[in-house]
Amino acid sequence: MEILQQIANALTQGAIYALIALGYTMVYGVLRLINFAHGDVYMVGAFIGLFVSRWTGALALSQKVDGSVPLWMTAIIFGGAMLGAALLGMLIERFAYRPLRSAPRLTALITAIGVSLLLEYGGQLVFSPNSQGFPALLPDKNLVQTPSFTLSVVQLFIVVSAFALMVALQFLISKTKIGRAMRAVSIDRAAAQLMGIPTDRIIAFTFALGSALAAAAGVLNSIYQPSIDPLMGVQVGLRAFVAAVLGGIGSIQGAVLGAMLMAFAETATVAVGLSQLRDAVAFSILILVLIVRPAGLLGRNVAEKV
Amino acid sequence: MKTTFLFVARFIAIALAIAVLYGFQNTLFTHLNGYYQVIVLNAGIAVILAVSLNLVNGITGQFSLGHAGFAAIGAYGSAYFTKEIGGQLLDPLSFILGITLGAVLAGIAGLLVGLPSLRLRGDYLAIVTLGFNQIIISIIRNLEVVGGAAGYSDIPLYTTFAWVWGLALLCILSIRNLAVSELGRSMRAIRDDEIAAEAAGINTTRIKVLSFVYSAMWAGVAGALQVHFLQSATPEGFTFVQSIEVVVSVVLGGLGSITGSALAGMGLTILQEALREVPGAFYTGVVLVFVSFYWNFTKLRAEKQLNRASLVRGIIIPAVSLALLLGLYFYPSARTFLESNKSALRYVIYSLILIVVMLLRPQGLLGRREWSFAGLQRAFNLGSGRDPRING
Amino acid sequence: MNSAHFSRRTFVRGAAFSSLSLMLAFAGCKPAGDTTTNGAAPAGNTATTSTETTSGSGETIVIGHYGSLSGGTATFGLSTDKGIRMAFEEINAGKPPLGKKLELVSADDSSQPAQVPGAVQKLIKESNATVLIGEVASKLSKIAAPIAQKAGVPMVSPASTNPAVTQAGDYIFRTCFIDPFQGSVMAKFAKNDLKATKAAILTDVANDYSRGLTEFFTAEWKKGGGQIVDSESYSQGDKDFNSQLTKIKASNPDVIYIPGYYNEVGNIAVQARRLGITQPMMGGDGWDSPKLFEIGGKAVQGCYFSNHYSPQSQDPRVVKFVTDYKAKNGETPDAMAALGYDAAYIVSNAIERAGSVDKSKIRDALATTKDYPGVTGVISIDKDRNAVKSAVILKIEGNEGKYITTVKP
Repeated sequence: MEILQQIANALTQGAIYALIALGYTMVYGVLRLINFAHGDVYMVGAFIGLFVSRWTGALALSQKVDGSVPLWMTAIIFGGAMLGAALLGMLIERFAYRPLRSAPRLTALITAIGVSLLLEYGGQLVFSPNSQGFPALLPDKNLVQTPSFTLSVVQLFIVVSAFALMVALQFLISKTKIGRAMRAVSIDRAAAQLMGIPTDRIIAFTFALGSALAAAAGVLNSIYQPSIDPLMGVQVGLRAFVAAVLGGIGSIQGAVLGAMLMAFAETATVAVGLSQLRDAVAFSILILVLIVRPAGLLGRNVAEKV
Repeated sequence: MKTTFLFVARFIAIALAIAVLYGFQNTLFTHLNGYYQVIVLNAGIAVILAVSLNLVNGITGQFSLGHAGFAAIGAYGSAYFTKEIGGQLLDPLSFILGITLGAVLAGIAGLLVGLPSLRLRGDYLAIVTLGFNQIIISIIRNLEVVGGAAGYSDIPLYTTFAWVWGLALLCILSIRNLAVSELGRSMRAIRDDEIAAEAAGINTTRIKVLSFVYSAMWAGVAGALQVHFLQSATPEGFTFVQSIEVVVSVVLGGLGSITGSALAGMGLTILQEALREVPGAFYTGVVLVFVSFYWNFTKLRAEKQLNRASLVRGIIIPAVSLALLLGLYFYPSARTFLESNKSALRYVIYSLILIVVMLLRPQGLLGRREWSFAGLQRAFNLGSGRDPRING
Repeated sequence: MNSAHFSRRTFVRGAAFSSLSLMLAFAGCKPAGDTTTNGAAPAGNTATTSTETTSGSGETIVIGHYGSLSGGTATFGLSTDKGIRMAFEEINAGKPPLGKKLELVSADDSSQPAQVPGAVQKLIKESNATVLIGEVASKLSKIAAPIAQKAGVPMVSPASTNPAVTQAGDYIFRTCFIDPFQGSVMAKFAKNDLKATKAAILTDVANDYSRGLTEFFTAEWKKGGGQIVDSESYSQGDKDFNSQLTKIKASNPDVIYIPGYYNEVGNIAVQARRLGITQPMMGGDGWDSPKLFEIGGKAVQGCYFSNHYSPQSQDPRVVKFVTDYKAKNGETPDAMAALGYDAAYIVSNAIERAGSVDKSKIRDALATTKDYPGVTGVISIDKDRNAVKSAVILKIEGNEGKYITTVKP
């Protein structure tokens, strides 16, 4: 039964990693850029969620002894965070990355690092470096409660909504016109442009989409783990990025697979009693996978052109 | 005959360099106030880290994100030696052996990381090197012989000005020599086109691993110098955050330019100190506005035409930034706000500078150019005229 | 690909020239007048009695605070800074030592080891600090201690609990208790008062404070016949603790010892309760922050932690401190603020007793601090320059820690 509990833990954590990893993988797909600031967009998403819940009164409600937050408030908080983060993502793309489209890729990477530092330290300036409590937007109840296994409303909500978002994303990318344009841009940007696809707008849309998913992850995670601070995106962002690479960066299914693998590997490390080596084990798995499959699990192994 | 002469000349040059360094050590440096001594030493260590990473990232065109991990191995390896074993030996001998051991251990780690690089490229390699860095830190945290998470303290204080800058110069010279040698040409060939390089008969595997190992060894030296100066080694001092800092210096200075890496390494160290206080930050901002104005100005001159975009970029943005800076600095309540939030602002400004410089100079401060007297002369004679010998 | 075509000689000259100009630039920044000890030459840990004139003008006494004012542990550094600042404002408004106002100069080390020497040297050399207060994190204090020792500047750490910190030399002090004491306090309390026999531990492996407490808790616990049924760990910055907690739950302990900081403990508590763990959790002074109740809410109710003082204490000094701090900063002080506040008062008190701004006299005065009535307890400095003071055990009820008992050293 302990194993069952650990599987539930890993699934929840994996769902959150996956939502963030999707942003990394989509941006990488269209721009070949590791968006280092993505983890910090996740942080900003959580903070926007906190501000919206202050503004709607959800925070005050959740602190009452038997107060519970109505569903419409939760929806507004999610919507606000996703919208705000999408705007932020587009702003970052417009001002920090677009001028560098034709520059060496490492240059854009350093700009991304700069944006990441700016969000982290700007966050410490604006939000203060203290940890802050996030309101319990969902009833803190357990659906299943046996002595050795519990499943909470929050966990179920995270897994279900994360997968709903991923399915929606998959639909968007494979069935809609804009999704087709995104795929075209990711295969060959110049050719896509020649075919009349407004590549700049598609790239901006990709950033908006990725950032909105990160914000959703930020709010979901903050309901689950209610302490938020300006540096909360660093660790999670790094792990999600690793997950995206593990699955094959640029591949949507790969990101989800990589995230799940990462979460399960971490949980398994703890479960066998090696919790102090969690990082080392997770990264060792990554290295082993990459040595065997250099483009990640589901990555396209692009043939080298001579 | 000629080679003998060269050999003697080189020998004299090295002896002279050592003498000059010791001269500095005992005259200028000791008279510097302790704070500036720290900056000078930190700058030297940053130079070694940046220049050595440039060998992999700039010259060989690979993408390593784990330089601090190698520094950690050099740091802990050398510290363990000087603290536990070297104590019986004379000071310089113990330190020399410590640094050597640190460099060798880091080199072995470089070999271990270099091997997967045979199969991986680009971002995948980056993430693997980053992963190695995290693994190294995770292991050190659990290694109680070197203090674990609490850090390894009571390391003897060996690092001096002569050590740091002597090794920094040695690092610059040796990597520069490597870069212009046949090996270096092979490295640059791999950077420019790996398949063509292989077709031309270059053993790319060997060259890549070699560049990794040599770069890691110098990172180990930098780590050794740092801990024998801090007298304490902590896992937090060598995480991927520090690795990123080194990558920033390399790209900022210009990928492939050794001069650029060295200047950027020094510059970022000084910048971090300058931004501690509001006046320092203000003057940095003013300098940056003028430098960006100059960059745009030369660009305007080269384009020989004025359009709206270049006008905005070249004149209006610098003017507005300057006005903004002056306003913030002299308007009393803005100044009070800056003063009371200076520690949080420090890295906000640092990151803004990073973004602005990269946007204005995507190729880095020096591009692939190197410093030379000839270049200096041309700069004075011809203004911004391009030198045909400089790589485009 | 022609970048290789510059001659070697020019490059040697170039490198030499650029380093020379750098040197000159620095030399120009500051007249090479002051007699500093060579910060880089090998030397032992003997304190050189400083002959420099301190605090130039004589009107104010400069006290330097180096700390993590930005970066990973900024929350602790900033709290400490606020505590010190408030203490100095009070002192200056009342009767400052020797009739000279105390001036606080803060330097940020960004929570990074490599930045500590710069921050500390800047305070000593640029600001002419007479006394240094700083770091919360023991590993950063350990870097600063030899520098302060060699410069002959007394250093008082408000919150570094690792025993090794003050072993750097006779100028290094601390005004908080050390890990061995706090770890054993909680072990004794759990055994005697909670009648627990089986404990599980969740340690922050990246944090020497947490590791120290775990070590001494374990030692005392086993000495008292207790059993450690599970020992798990996490790293600073982690947010997900479910897998560790699942293991702890399966080991079925009587109590769970979590010697971490409040930002992680809040998350741990929420996740533990959700997993159905009902046993009491216990921790150290890292728990003391109003944010713990904000984050942990219902989950931390009924948990215990050891602390320096009880904010509910009716002691007039504590009441005044808490109300003034709230009025000034708009928040309840946490442990770091209180410790910074006490360190500042102890420094001021030592300067007063030294009767001069001579650093070695201040050092001697600090070493003879006896029964100083601080907010965080009655503080005496022992021969190892550590503070001897009692600890209190608090139980969380509502949004405050309720006083349970006092443990004397």
